Amino acid sequence: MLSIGYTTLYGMLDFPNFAFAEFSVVGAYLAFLLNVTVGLPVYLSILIAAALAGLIGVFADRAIFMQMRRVDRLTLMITSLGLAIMIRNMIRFIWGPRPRSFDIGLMKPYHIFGARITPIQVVTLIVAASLMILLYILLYRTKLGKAMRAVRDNMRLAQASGISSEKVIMWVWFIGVAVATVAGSMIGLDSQLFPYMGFSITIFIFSATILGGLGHPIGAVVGSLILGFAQNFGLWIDWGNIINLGGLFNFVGSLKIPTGYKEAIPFLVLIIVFLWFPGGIFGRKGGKYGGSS
Amino acid sequence: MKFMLKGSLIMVLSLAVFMVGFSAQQETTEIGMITPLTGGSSKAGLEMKRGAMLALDEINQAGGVLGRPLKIIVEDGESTAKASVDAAHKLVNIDQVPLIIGVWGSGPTIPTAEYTNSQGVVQICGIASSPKVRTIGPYYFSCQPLDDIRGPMLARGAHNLFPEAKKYASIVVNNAFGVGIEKYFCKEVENLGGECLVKVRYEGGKPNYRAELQRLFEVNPDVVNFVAYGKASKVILKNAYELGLEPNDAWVAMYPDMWKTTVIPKTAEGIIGLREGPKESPRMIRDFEIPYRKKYGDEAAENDLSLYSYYGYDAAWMAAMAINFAGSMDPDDIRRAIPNVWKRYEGVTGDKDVDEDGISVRIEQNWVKIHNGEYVSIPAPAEVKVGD
Repeated sequence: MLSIGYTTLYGMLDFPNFAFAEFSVVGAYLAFLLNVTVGLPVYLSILIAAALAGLIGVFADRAIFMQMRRVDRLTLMITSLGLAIMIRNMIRFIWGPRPRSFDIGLMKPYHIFGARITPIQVVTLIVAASLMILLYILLYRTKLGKAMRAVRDNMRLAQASGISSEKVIMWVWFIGVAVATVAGSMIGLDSQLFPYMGFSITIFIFSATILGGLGHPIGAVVGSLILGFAQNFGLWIDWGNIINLGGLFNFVGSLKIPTGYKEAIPFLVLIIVFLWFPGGIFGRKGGKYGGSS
Repeated sequence: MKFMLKGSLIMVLSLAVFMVGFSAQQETTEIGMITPLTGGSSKAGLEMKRGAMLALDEINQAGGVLGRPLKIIVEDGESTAKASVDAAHKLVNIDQVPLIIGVWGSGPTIPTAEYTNSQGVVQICGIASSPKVRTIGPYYFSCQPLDDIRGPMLARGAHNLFPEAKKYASIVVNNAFGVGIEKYFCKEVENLGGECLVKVRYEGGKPNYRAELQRLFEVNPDVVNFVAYGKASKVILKNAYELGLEPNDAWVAMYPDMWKTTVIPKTAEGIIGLREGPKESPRMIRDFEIPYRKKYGDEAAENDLSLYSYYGYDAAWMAAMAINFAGSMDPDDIRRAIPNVWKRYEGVTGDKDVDEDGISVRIEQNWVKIHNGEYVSIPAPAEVKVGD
């Protein structure tokens, strides 16, 4: 979910926005506020928080990034990095460094084909799938989606065709941050909220979107799925068995990647994929989002 | 004329500053304390400070140190080695204290104590259990036994409680403390005929620990060694509970005080813990818990009464006794007085004694089982073998 929001924004604004994941954390904390402090039901809290965070995203764009549309990418990237640090510390200032948990209680897992899956993970899967379908419909079946794609492909041409690029960008910020809020809240529901969670999310989002092809929503989904699978598969597999050719030899004993290196696996996958797809899986070679021109 | 006026003014001001400094020096006996009041270990650091301040009140009510009130200059170690060393520089060079209490954690304690040793300043009671503190030098004295005593003790306890258990697994925080306990725990398990089949070292600050737990439970362990700090332990135990992962016999944990007030009680049900210090005795409640509650309020007492507040309390008392025994503020006199103090002091963290390296060699076992979020004392299942 986060990768889709991030890649859509990247497609429009054409710079790596380090603050994006922090907006998801702001939204998740707002949902926490509405759920735990105000006492609203958890899913209603997330919906309201998504709308509020979406507005905060729009405000951030109007106040900061809109003033810098003609500035080079490096400056925008550093600005977003500064904004990310500011947001992170504001969250810490308001809610403190202590991790926070939604008011949902403990849940027992379902056992499906030998795997354990918690009810929150089931809800997350359903919500993610629903949002992906909705975003697909929005992008490919609505006028706004058509305008979004037009602005993403060629902003000047879109403007010349009568599309208000600023209005489209505003909508993209709103939708992107709202979706990110839902994603951040689901992470919070699954574990807990803490002020620095945005940073750990950012690395995964960046890897997934680059893998899928920057600016490509479907690519972001595919990239996320590949990386998520690779992380777990990489930890699960006994590399000793592979080196020993499935038991034919006995070069080494059991060899598993320590779980502390889980975060490194996406980068390894990224390098391997780039050997064959330098612009990412769905990236256009030599194009705006291909990254290999 | 103008020059003379300026000169006189400077002289008067200098004299005033000197007199103020002199009179302040005469009024109190000053020692230092470094404890993390911000950053990841701030909760433990605050608890340690509160314990020390409670002792300070009692020390001063009892007449102070060397006939003067004792003052503890508290510096924030910010949960980092660098800030702790900076604080030590300030206490040694500016405040010129002869003795420093602290720091929290082996990471900040070792470089800080190496510095204070190089300056000939006494440092006591760091919450540091890494065996590396043994070689710091003659001015460092620990108040707690090290991992090479506690790790085997935890393993023996688990073995005695579950003699049939052979498959052990271990999940520890990836730092000197966690790895130290893992090393000595697993070594002792092997001596006792078992095996640590999986060793997982986790990094803090992750949104979930499912991958670590899946790895941990791949071998269907009988007993799991669990060494974790508050924030992560909450997620680890919650993830384990929600995934339905539990060892055949039990989790065994060193220092459940590190996370007991943070975790969801239901997820910690049945965990066997090895705390430090004597079981709650009427004396301990009378001398420590009631005054603590009175000074800081019920809420603080519910949240903060842990090993670290006990250590802060004992450290301040032991520092005061060491200076009184030495009869001077000379660090070398204080250093020489310390073994005698450690032998005589009956602390809320148990009786003390130090070996020739200044390391505490006594541990009072306080075995507990967690039930409904509370400690329930159980008989000590392991014999104390000092210096194993």
